[in-house]
Amino acid sequence: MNFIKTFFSREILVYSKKSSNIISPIVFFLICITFFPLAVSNDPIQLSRLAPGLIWICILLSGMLSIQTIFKEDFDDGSLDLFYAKDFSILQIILVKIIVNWIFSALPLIILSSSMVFLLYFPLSNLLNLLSSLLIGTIIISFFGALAGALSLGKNSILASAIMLPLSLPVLILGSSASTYSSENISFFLLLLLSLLFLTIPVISLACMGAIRLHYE
Amino acid sequence: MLTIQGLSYAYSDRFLFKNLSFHLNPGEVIKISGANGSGKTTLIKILTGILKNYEGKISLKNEEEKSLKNLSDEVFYMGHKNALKENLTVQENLQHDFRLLNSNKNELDSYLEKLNLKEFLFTRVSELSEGQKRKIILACCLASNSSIYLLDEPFINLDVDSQEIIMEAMDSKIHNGAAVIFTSHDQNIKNSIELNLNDYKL
Repeated sequence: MNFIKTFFSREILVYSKKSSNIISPIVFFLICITFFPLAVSNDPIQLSRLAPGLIWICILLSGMLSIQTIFKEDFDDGSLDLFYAKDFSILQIILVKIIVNWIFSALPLIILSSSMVFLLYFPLSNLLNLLSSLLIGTIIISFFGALAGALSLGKNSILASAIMLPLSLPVLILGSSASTYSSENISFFLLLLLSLLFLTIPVISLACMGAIRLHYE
Repeated sequence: MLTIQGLSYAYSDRFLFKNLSFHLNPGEVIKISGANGSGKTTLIKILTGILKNYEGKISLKNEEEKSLKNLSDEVFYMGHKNALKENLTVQENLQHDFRLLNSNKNELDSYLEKLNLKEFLFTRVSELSEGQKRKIILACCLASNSSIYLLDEPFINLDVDSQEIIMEAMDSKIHNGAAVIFTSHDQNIKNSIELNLNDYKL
């Protein structure tokens, strides 16, 4: 427990001191969300119809910037060696790293998207469903990103994107579909997304453990 | 204390070393030497439990162990890489260093002072030289109360004065019963049993 507390506070410190980890996804997101109305159309009806998908695409691509390298620094500087040598729980380390990465790179985007929806004429009646889907979906994407990062340790970062994008497609489809419904009803797609979250956490955590271990075989 | 019997490790269908056997008693120092790529780092990683797919037996205090993992609190491991966070200061790194869980904070302060690191406590690790980074970990090593020290190239990038301070401090630990296994290319290090991995090739 002592170890996890220390590790959590170290991760918070490392992320808070790496401003690029926080700023890059935000800037990327802002650029994308601002350019869509300019590039696609300025017709409010057309934009509001496209808005859920556009917001989701922007979030997915912005989130990919940092999550794929989640284990790279620990692998390169020898911290992962130390965790194995000290017999610390790799599962707990993976979960802490995903949580901290989500707090610093996905949470600001969710907060920002709630204030940027007006640019795309997103119907405010659907806002709660959009935010709920983003909240659940970004956690799932973080887990997929962590798996991609674990599998591509020490390899080309293109491999991580190639692994992550197909895995993220169901989340993108369910998330944008859930956001098209009014928040008065709990969307069926939102429930599916929630089920996917409960399936993802244990399965992908264990897969990450195995993928990292592969680099020590 | 630690007995290795018939230890072999293969990488990509090629044996790095085969049939390696040795015994380590309290107060003993074993220096692992050998050519580049002979498996020095690999051997240290096997002993710490980082690498598992080896053949042979590792027994600790007459009990067979998978590695020294079960005694991870009693083992101090210093890898080839320093495991320091470059964007944090020295002090922040030390506050969050897991190698210091079993160590004496006053001793750490005194070794930081002796190794001229006190003035860099609030400097980012990325701004330090490789030798200074190595000294931070060695200060942690000297402050730890472990009984077995597994050190991979501990003196790399170190100036002569710092090496002497560290050797002297390690000597007193060894006199008190600590055992050390370290890898090095340095021929000037005396008072240790040498184990050359070149002799354990096929």
